[in-house]
Amino acid sequence: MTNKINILQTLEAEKDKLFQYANYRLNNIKDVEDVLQNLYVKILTNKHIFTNISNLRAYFYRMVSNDCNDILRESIKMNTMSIDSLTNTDIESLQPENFDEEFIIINRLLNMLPIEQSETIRYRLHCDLAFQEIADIMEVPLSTAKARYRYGIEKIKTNLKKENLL
Amino acid sequence: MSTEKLNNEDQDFNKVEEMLTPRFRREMKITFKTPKNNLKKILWTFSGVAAMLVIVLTITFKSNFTVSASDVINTALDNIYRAKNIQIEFEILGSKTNQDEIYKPNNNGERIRGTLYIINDNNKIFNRIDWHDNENNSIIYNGTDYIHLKNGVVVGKHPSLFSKELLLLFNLDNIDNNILNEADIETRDNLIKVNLKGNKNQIIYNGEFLITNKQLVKASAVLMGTDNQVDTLLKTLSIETNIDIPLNLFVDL
Repeated sequence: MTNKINILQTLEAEKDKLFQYANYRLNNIKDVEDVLQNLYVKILTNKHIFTNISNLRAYFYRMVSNDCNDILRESIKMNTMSIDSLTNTDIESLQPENFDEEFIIINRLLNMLPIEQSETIRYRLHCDLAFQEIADIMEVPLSTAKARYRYGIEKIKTNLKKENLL
Repeated sequence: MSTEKLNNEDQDFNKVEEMLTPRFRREMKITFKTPKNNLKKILWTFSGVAAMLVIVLTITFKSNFTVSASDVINTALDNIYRAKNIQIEFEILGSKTNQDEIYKPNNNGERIRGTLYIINDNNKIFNRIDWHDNENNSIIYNGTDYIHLKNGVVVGKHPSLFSKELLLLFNLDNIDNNILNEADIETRDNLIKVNLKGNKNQIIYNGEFLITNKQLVKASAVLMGTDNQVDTLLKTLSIETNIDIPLNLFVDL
């Protein structure tokens, strides 16, 4: 059983990583702040439930991921982000010069992948999590987390080559 | 595959990793704010209709009540707050939404009936709304999950900690004074009628309390149009407490 202090300490420790994750899902800083603030409020108002959760980190990431999905579903951003083709993309546009450009490229590339692969890559590259941590969060064996990462990168690589972008 | 080709493949793999690795990370500047009286915001995030219903039911928090009116209203709401079970039949003017609650209030929508259940089982709070539509949509918040049923079959489920927030709104201490403006109170025979203007005077909330048994018997939210046309956005058809509501209504069968 986890107490309230442990729950908040876990959140504090993961805050920056969750922030980076949400940033590269949502872009809009206001939405990102709302997602994290909502998580905090849920913890405060439902402490009794959190104390019974064995894998708190996994729960935090799933909650943030679900909230991001909800916001994207509602937002017109979904339309621009759901472009999974690389048509009209040139090598120059794959070299971003600011956060917004980088956000678009990263999401365009990750949208080619099944969600379990794109989530693995986000956790690894955006949250700087080790594969063992990712495996714990996604509740899969270590080998599966590694395989998802590799398959994801390989698929993007193949698609980029097909379009002569690599 | 030749060593050179293998090296090229590895280099390409690394290039893709680089493309996906943020170089323009934003600096984390968020400090968490401890919520104060923001239950309403949480509620709207999770379940707009249910929240509206409870706000309609609790319209009456206002310090300028007469002593007797205040006593009746406070007792009625406190009885609901402390009830083991609550069942409210209601009707809204609403339209379908892809949000969790399935329907949202909309004055251009259709009339739809629903039943809200809240039960308090040893401090574990369960919420359910049955929509009386063609698809027999039902939504359940059991404290750990949100479950969407159609004709009794689960069609959607995700983690949700939404639990006691609706019930907490019945506790007058948790109601944000800012959502309430001037309340008009009319006492006639055995009835206290309260109406309250909210949302830039466009929505009027009405509540009716029986004086003899100190019970809330009716509540509604009415939208005032520019040409004095009114639409009843939401109204209760019945409010019952401490009746038998089976716990298996809230499990994922």
